[in-house]
Amino acid sequence: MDFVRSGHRDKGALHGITVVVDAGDELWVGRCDEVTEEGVVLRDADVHRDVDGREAYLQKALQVGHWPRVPHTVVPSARVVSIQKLADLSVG
Amino acid sequence: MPYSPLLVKPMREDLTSVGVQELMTAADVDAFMAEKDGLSMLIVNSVCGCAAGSARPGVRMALQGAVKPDRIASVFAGQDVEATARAREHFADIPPSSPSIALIKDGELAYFIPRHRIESRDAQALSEDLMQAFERYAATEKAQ
Repeated sequence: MDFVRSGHRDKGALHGITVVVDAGDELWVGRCDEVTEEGVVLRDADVHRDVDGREAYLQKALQVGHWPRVPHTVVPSARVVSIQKLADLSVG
Repeated sequence: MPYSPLLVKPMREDLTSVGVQELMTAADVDAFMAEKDGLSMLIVNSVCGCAAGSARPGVRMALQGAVKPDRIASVFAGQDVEATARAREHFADIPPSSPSIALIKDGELAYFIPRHRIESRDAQALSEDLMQAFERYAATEKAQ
């Protein structure tokens, strides 16, 4: 994606992409701004803390999206177990 | 803060040039949603090129197919704030995202493409999804 189309650059491959960040006891879904040494910078994010309800939560997010309850957050690198695109998830 | 109208103008014209009606006020949205018969498509347009750069051409390509919605309109997120907010009120159970695309059949939400299903995909793939949805819901309409 070039600069003219995206309006951004040097933010990495996940910039602008809705991602799921597994941070152990927290599951974050949000629009990735960038991944830095500090952590995963998310905008318009939501966090899910009920480990047992993760599958249902992700299924709903896959269908209609997530509620952007947190305008900006950084998930610290030390807590990140995995990061992947929401659209790439297969749930259930 | 809204972008310059000059910057946004070609993004609006991407859709209006293929017959998409722009809804710029809450009253426009209410009037569009009040027409319940048949298949309608409401697009939430967006400046963000990460996803909208595929959304607009995808919609344009889909509208070249044989089957199309009866009515097609758009609101522009971050630009036409009142209209976008009102459109989202009509789909209170759906998280806001832009760009996104809703198909409304006989006044009920029938199909929804949120932003994450537009990101990272090209216009061709999006247009194929839309054309399949047009076929599915328009065909149902004809069968009734």
